[in-house]
Amino acid sequence: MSEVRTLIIIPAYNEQDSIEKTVADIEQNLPGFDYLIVNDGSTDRTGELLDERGYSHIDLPVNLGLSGAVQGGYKYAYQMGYDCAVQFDGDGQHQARYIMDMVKEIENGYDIVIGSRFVNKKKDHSLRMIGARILTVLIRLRTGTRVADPTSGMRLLNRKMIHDYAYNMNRQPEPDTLAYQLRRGAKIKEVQVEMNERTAGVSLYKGLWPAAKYMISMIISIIFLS
Amino acid sequence: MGLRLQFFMIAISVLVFLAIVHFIRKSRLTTQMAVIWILWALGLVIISIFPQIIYSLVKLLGITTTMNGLFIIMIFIVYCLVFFLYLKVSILETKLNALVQEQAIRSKEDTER
Repeated sequence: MSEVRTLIIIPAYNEQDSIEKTVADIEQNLPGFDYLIVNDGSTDRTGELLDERGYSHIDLPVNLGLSGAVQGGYKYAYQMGYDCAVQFDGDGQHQARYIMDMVKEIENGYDIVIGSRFVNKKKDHSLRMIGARILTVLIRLRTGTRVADPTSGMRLLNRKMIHDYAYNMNRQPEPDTLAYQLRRGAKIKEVQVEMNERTAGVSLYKGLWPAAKYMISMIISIIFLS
Repeated sequence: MGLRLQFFMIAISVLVFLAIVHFIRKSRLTTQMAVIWILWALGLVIISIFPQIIYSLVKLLGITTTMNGLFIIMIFIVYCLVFFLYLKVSILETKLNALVQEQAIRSKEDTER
């Protein structure tokens, strides 16, 4: 157990089928770590389940979407005095065993540590990964830094970044915010991790139109707003 | 379109673009809204540099005067933006109500405890 106090933030929207597995993973692989489930106004039994099991959680009275939920988690982390906080998806994609390696990089002085699928692995040629490649190239052009896995949701922030993400506008947990932080001198490190296929739930960006909308908004945001 | 009008259009659209970026930098606009406005401003810049786009579009729609066509197209886009705003405001209103009610219920629970 390290001396750095870390909070694991688990945004959960209708995750009744996978949230227990996620918490079990954390309790097994990271004993003694604090976690906080942010129930983002779920309409299924997620809320009841969290109460029954006695999991550490907060309930948002209205649905804010992923950005708002994660930001709520960062606010909690800042107010409770945590040194770093990681976003950890409740749908079973992320694996707790990699978090220790990521915390070590925070101790080495990095501001943001990304749990990256592609540090020493190649992206495949699916449409999804072509999108990710475009974002990697754009961020490189704008900031001079290569972020191999910009769309990874597994991000660990130090206390300075927690405050920034928690209290400022337009700090959605997306690639454009990484570009923004890089341009303001943040130091970002990627750590190789593996991710599971989603065990439950669907991607936020499923379907051609939402995916196109996401790409347009990311490209414009990285070019003009970072 | 006369050359003078075209220069005017280009100047205005570039100014609009710069103003939008400025306001976003000062954190007065969320990224989602900003993207819509940047696309809009880019569109303005493009049609003021290449007004031929409007000419052929107007011809395609069968409108005789270019200016009338431009008005119709612009009003339609503004119409869409206003509708989008109405959607956003409705959602906001509903969420605000839910939030206030929830807060009231919780504070009653707290005082009774």
